[in-house]
Amino acid sequence: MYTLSDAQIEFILDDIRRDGIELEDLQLNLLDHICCIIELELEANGDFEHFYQQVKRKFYKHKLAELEEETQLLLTFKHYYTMKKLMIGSGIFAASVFSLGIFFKFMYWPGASFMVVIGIALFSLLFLPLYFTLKIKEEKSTRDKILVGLTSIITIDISLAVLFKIMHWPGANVMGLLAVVLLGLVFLPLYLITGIRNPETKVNTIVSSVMIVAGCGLFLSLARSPRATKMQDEMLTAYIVRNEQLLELQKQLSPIQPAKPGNYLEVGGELIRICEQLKANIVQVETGSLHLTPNFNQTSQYISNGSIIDYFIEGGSMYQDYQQLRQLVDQYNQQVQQLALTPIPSQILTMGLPGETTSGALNNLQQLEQFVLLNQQFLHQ
Amino acid sequence: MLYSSELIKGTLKTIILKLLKENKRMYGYEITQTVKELTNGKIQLTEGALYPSLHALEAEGIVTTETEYIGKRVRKYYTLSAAGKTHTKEKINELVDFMETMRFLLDIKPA
Repeated sequence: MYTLSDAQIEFILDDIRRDGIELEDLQLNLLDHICCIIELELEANGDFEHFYQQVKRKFYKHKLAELEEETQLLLTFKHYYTMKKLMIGSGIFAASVFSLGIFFKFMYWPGASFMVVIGIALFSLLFLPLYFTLKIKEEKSTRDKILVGLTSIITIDISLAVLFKIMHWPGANVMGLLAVVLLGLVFLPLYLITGIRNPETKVNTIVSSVMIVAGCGLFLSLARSPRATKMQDEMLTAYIVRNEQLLELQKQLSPIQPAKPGNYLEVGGELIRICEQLKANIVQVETGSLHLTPNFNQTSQYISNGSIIDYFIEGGSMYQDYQQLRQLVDQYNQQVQQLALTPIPSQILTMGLPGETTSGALNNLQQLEQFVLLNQQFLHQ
Repeated sequence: MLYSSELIKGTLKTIILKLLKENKRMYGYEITQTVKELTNGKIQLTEGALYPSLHALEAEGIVTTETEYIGKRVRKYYTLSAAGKTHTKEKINELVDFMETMRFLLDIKPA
């Protein structure tokens, strides 16, 4: 039975550290193990140094660092499998939720956008990063690691850009543009230059590069240019301004009569007032001023065909007025039927429905006013 | 006769888990000695195989550890976790099944 001194224990620990054992846990385990063997198997007056070297020699084939390498390998393998499982799981889940969300969206069923957001978010923020992390680990050369890294950034960017676009969140166009720029100006040159030099990969590199250029081209051909957007907005705004001028003429021809109790015009006047208010609100959120003027081109105040539903659903700033408008249209239509006049078609109230645009809502409100004014003119003829 | 390290490799984790199940709490040296005694020296676990496996089992959450100071050095004790107990049963059943299959496979006599 040998008794180890503190200095000897210190010596063993230093020695196994020098031999390449870096994991602290492993150092402690080996130290205790070696100490146990020495204390139990070496005689009290034995040669410590010699015996220690003999014991250590039995631990490995070539060098002690083999233990460290083996442990590291097993530890990474464990993470590798967990990551792989998580990747496959999240991928299947994201794809299913996303597909279901798209189906719901087509069917106009509730919960669609929630599923689409969860699906794309999981796909871009969990599945893709995991997939590319594993892929980077598998690649051997630095060039391939950089290319896979770039691919991952671009793919995640495109995926999130699509999510932002369909949810009408700001920044979608910038993200899309960034992806195209990264792909065309960074990834493609790097990929082409490094791949074309190697005779083995030359053909594949050229084919893939053509695919990337064609893909970018197809993507950009679907996107509308800023100039086209401006032209379209100019056209839409011009329609609305002209309709507003016609409406003004109509108002002069058949001015709103003073309201009398029991008279249907009480409701008509109220309808005109709420329509005017909603129009002013819409124009204000769109352009910043309360009214559109015929020289909107000089002040660059355009009405776009962007979505407007957020203002009209419950909790939106125009929700109350819109609900009142709906009730008044019902009352108005009941009174108008008794007088054998034309009721306001219910399809005109589309502001709270998905897909309704700013220009569409303004047009509908203008037409609603026209119905009221023309009915009044009929009544007074 | 000493068994080859290839044979031990595939069964090492099962041996460790079974020992921990029987003895509750063990440290590395104790495991090698117990195996040696139980098998009359036929199976001698090498340190190079034992410790990497113990660390992997710990990282997988199959075993938990506690440390104790023995003078100037630290001793790490291994215990089965709750998940480790079910895992042990599965590993043992798998090995028993494997041995039966091997027996059947090796019993085939040429016609």
